[in-house]
Amino acid sequence: MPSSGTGPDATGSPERAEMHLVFRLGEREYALALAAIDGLADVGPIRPVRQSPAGVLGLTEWKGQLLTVLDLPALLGQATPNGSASLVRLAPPLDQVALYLPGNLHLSSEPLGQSEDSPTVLQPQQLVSGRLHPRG
Amino acid sequence: MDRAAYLELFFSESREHLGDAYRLMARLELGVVDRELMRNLLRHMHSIKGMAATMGFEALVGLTHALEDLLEEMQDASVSECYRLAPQLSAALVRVGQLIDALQQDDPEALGLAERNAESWRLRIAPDPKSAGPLAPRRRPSFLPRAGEQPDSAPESISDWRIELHFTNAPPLTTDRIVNLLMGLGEFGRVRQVRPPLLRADTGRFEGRLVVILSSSRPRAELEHRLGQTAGVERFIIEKEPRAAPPRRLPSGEERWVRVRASLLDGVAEQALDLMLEQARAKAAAGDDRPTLTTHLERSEFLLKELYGTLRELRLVPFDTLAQLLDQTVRELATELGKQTQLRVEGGALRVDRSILEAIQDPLVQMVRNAVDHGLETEQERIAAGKPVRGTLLLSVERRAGRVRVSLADDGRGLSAEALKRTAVQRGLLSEQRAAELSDQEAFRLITLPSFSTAAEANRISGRGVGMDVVCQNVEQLGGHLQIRSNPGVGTRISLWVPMTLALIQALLVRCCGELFAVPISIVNRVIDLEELTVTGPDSAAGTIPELLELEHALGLERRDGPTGRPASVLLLALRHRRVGIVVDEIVGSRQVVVKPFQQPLKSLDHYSGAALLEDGTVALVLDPLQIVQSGTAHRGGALAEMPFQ
Repeated sequence: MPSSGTGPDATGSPERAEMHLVFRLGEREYALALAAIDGLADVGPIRPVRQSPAGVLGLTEWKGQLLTVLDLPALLGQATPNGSASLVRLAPPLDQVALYLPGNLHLSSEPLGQSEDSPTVLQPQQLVSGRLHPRG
Repeated sequence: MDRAAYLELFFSESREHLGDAYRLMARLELGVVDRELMRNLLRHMHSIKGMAATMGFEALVGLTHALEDLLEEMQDASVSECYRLAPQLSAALVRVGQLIDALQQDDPEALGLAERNAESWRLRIAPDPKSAGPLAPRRRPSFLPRAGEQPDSAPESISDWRIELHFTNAPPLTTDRIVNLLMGLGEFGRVRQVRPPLLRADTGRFEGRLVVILSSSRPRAELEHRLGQTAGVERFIIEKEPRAAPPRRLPSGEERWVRVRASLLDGVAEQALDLMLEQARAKAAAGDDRPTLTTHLERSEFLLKELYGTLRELRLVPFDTLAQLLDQTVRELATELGKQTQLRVEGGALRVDRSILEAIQDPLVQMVRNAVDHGLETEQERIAAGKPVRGTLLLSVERRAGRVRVSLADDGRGLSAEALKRTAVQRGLLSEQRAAELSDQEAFRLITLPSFSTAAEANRISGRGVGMDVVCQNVEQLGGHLQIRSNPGVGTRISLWVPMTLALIQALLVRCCGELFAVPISIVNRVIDLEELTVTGPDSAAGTIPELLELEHALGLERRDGPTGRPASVLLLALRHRRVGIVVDEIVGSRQVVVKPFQQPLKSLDHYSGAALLEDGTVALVLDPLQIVQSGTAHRGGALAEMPFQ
């Protein structure tokens, strides 16, 4: 169900808070508030961690720091498409986490509407804690 | 006032004052009775009272106010009267601690109990609360000098005497003799200075001449008389020392302390470690053919190590901060059990990494509880054994061989190796034959077995015998180990050996199924080639055979076709009761790594203590071997192997 808002971590400037990173997974469009994002990078080597909860791809190095990589399509119940992908590092206090984000991304500076066609705005805190369950 | 914003500060500062008060109390109990000590005690109580009043903690205000009354009484009392009142003072400090604990827990039941205890004590001291309300102005702020006294200079009637002492050659002049002399002089006033420093007496550089500056109100004749009767003093010269001007105070702001949030400090230290790692990688990337760059990088490496060293220093806190909590525990238990007990602390000023101190707090509290409850005899038993009625616990801390050793020794009944063996056999933990083979040292370690207790009845003081097992487990989780020494009838000493810090560890890098892991080297007893082991069966002699646990199975790793290695090496772990080996494919090497604890959502993974980033950008998962062994099952059908075990 579509929703709107700037997310719980929208702590940036007013201009930045209105911007979103928009991407498509399957038939749906999703958005992350730019204020909830710390940075974007290409996907580097990801070290798998056995027995980790579902939705965790592993650990990766990000500018000398270790981040936990979450498989965003898996968390959203979508298939992970082949092709290009990016890592999105979340903003503090979730900056130990990066989201694996396949496909093309674009920025939207338009206010996101309430209609069915509007992208679903993701809440990073829920992605990290609310929707992960231990693997089988 | 937004009280919540100041609560943390209140608890932190009031505990500091209470800790200082405990230290002074310990000196009082050792026989040091002087007005300065009482003044300092008063000052600490006054500070707690003032803060409690600001926060609106009325019960604490009432209690500390009554304590001030008691201390004021003691300040004017004779030495013998002070000794008589000391137990009351000690009990009151315990109640202050309990009240602060209860306030911090915010548990109405605990708070109610602590308040009732405090009130009952207060009424014993000040039965008529209306006579002087706790917030009423005191007769005088008694921790300050009395009327006529100047805070920064002694009253006119007190003189500074310069006493030059010349000693005979026999008996040899030792520090002990000088200390005894100074203690004697202490009865006349306050020894302000001794030249040369006392240490020289025992290093052979003492020339048989000592200069003492004594502040005293007593007449010169009394001093002369006393010195004339002091053995070993050949001659002495007494003259008035010109009074020194009050020391210049630094202008405000030059010497100031800043409170820093611990998490902030940890964050900065972690950033420094990240920088060190990045620098090491830059150095590797520079290679050997760019000498100028390499020189700069080596210089920056040096500076970074210095920076990290400084930051580590900032993370250190005096061991005394933990000792005061243990002191409180001892006092509470001693009161409850009716056992006269004192805790002495040696090396309390040693500064220890905060994370280590936090990690050993619970084990030490449990050890103290065990010692007071089980280790020390009752008063009647101690009298019958010819021991002092008051039992002593000695808590000592020192740095040794790059680690921290914390020991708790008691002068109690000690452990009986034979009784421990009997209990182990009765409980089916050992066969009679195996028990007979155990050395005394091995028998003492039986107390760390789960659910082992020789106490006839479990009680609420020291639990049901699970305590030492948990202590051991916690220490091993830190990469440390535990040592037990005991002498029946004389006492027991339990030592915890723990690393200096938790963030940076020496690790063994191993590979299994193509994946890289780091194992804290402190927990690895030995590395053995798998081919040296002969797998036998469960009927082999127990005790010399380790269980083998394959990392591949323990972690659910996948061994793909191809050159991913084969099990080839065994890490023999240094655990208490189990001789367990973990099978890996390859030993890659050892190095220092920075352990980054897992964050959500990986925090719940027990098999790892975190991850480490290596110079080449590779991520090694840091294993927690203890958890792996506890949750894993030995493979190879019971996996017993004969091996050259120590």
